[in-house]
Amino acid sequence: MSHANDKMTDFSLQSYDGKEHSLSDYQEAKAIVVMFIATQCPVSNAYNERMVKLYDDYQPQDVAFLAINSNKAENVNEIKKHAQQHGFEFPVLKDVNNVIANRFGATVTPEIYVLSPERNLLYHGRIDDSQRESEVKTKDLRNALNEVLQGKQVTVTQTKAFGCTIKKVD
Amino acid sequence: MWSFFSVIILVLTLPLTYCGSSKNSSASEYPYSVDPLTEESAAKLIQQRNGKVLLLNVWATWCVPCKEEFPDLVKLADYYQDRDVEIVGLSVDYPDEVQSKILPFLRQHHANFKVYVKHFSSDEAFINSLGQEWNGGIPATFIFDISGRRQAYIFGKKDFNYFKQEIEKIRART
Repeated sequence: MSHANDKMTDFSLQSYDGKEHSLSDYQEAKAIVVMFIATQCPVSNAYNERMVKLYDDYQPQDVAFLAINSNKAENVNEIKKHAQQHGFEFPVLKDVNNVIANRFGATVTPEIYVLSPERNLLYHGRIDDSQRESEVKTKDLRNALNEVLQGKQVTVTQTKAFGCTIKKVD
Repeated sequence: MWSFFSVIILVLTLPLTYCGSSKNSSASEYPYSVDPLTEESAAKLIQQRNGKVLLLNVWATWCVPCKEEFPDLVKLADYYQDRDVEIVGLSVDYPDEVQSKILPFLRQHHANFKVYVKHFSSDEAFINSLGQEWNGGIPATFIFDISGRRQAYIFGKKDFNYFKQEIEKIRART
């Protein structure tokens, strides 16, 4: 499992539209949000709208968003359809053979990593504390991003929640 | 004329009636109640072993691999019936989904072991109490020895033989 301040190595993955994205493309961003998501996981899907709102709120503040799909059974066409259906404007990258999920230590969807532009891990965990938006008490990812944007140290660097396991290649 | 229509309606509805009743008869009653599990009752369940090894499987009705794994847990509970091993399920669906989701699933799969539904003040605290290395992904299975010590953390879908082997390793040690 990754821990706060771990330096994450750069990667290069293709989004469903064939564009190559690397972490190093976002050195000018104030933070990079890497989101491991799925098309079929009901927990990940419960957060589709919240992910869109996060992007709408923080992308204008120079926060970059990259979603990654590492599930072996979810192909590029399915990822494209899902992204378009839910209005994802952030890139959704296909992690073939779950290489990047393994490198990050990601095991579940949705699972979030917030990195500094230098790729140091600032926050790792959930988006918030309830699959049901009406029952959310702590908006952990927003709290972390707000602190980063204010130039503060992230107070809660690690959180957990129940989610779907990433189906990986054997 | 009316009797002709009555016969037609009867003929058309008979197969539906038959399908309905056969479906009902294949779903057995679940022999336990699905009680809420709090942090306190979870600790009690783990600690009060009464000489039995505990296999605790964390699952949910929204989790596909959990549902695929479930029949093997039923088989396991059958196998260890009347032996010193207790199989317990913990559904991390919501408590208000017991009637609508959990019980129908348990009946459909002829569940033969006690299943609880999570009722934690903090999911995260519970996840950490079972394992710092566990990120909350399910299915996840934990095996505790007769002293309530965690002896195995099993992440992801497994089968009857895998679980049995893990249980037997722990039984051999105690």
